[in-house]
Amino acid sequence: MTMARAVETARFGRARIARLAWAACGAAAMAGALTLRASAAAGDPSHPLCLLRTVTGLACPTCGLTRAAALLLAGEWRASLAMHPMAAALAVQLAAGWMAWGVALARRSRERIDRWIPHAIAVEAAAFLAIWILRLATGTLPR
Amino acid sequence: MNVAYVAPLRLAWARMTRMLFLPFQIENWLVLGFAAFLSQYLAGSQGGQYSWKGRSDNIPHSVIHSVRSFVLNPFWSALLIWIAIFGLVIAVVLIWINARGRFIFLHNVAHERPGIVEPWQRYARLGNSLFLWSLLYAFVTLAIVVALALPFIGALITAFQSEEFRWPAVGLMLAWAPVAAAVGIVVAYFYMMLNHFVVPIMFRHDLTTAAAWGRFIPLFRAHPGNFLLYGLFMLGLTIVVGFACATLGFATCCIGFVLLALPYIGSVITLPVEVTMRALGPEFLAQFGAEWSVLAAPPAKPAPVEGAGA
Repeated sequence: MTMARAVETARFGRARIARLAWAACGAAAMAGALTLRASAAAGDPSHPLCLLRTVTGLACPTCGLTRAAALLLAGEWRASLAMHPMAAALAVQLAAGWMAWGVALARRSRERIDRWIPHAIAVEAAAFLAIWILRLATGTLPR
Repeated sequence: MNVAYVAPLRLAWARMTRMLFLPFQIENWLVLGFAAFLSQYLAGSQGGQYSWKGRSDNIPHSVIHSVRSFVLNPFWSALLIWIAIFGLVIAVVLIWINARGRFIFLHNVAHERPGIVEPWQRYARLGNSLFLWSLLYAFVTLAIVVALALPFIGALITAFQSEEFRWPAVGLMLAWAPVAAAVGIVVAYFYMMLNHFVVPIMFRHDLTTAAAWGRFIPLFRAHPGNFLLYGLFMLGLTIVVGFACATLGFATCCIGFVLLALPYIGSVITLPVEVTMRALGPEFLAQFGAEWSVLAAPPAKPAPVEGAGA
């Protein structure tokens, strides 16, 4: 086997793994969404699972995110935004990222879209913190 | 000799940044995360940090009797013995994989290039040497711990069996605590030196574990204060990392704790810390001369082309 052919085979193998990973991520997200939709019970707010809230009585930056996602899946986007505005933002970003990944795979583009992941995580973290501080100051954290 | 502590940390951090973020490539993270998982979590050196510890100070006598009758049953005792043997075999296999995994991860960090298959084959001899040494070390440690724990266990059984309060038993238990703490510190320190200095020396000079210890001990004797301070520096860093992990866990409704505790996923999430910590020992060691330099030099910046700015 020539060197060029070996390189081509390896590239084909990587592309196939990438396509499988893309499909698996999509399937996992869909399964997660369906599970959340099916078990969309808000739970008992008087007995929170969050350790920080149990100990300090203070809601953490991601408090309400699951309930907001469940409300979003139920089509109640206003209530979802009120519960936690980042649920909708995250859903849009994840869907956009997944589609961009699919387009890049279909076009066999060499451009790496994963280079944006650290930037996205940094922006998300800053946004979560800013929203948490704002809601803490205004007393609008979920109960 | 002026030995620095923060400068090696800066170098290790710079190496981590180059490897993981310049550029960010998800497959590099997944492969390196797997190497880190092989080198750390399989042996349970960190995986046990979230282990649940039950209270045993109020076990009623009926429970003790039930346990005793359960153990005395031939079927259940045979099953327990088989489970113990199976567990021991699994533990030995995990130590073997972990020994090889340490060289794989160090190879990846030293060459700033992720890979599993090639280093797995290359470091078979060194990995097996480290495995045998680790096994011996584990047995010796276990023997010491059991020997030290026997009086404590005896006192505990006496305290359980007697209805009245006994001061000697309590005194023995109180005296055992600092001894256990001292043994724990020595064992942890030994483990830290093995992982941070002896394994890199094995890697650099293609030495067996005993030979690498033989090479490291004279250096340690020449600079004991520096290495002891390094241990304290590591302790401080571990506290900072632990605090950061706790903050992440609390800030994410404890989802962060769950992710960190998951095998492999936890390794990928904490990869910046894992890579920095892996590079720190060799970077510290490199200060003692060229023969102790383990990691490859960072890639040189391209020379500016003459007239390019004109």
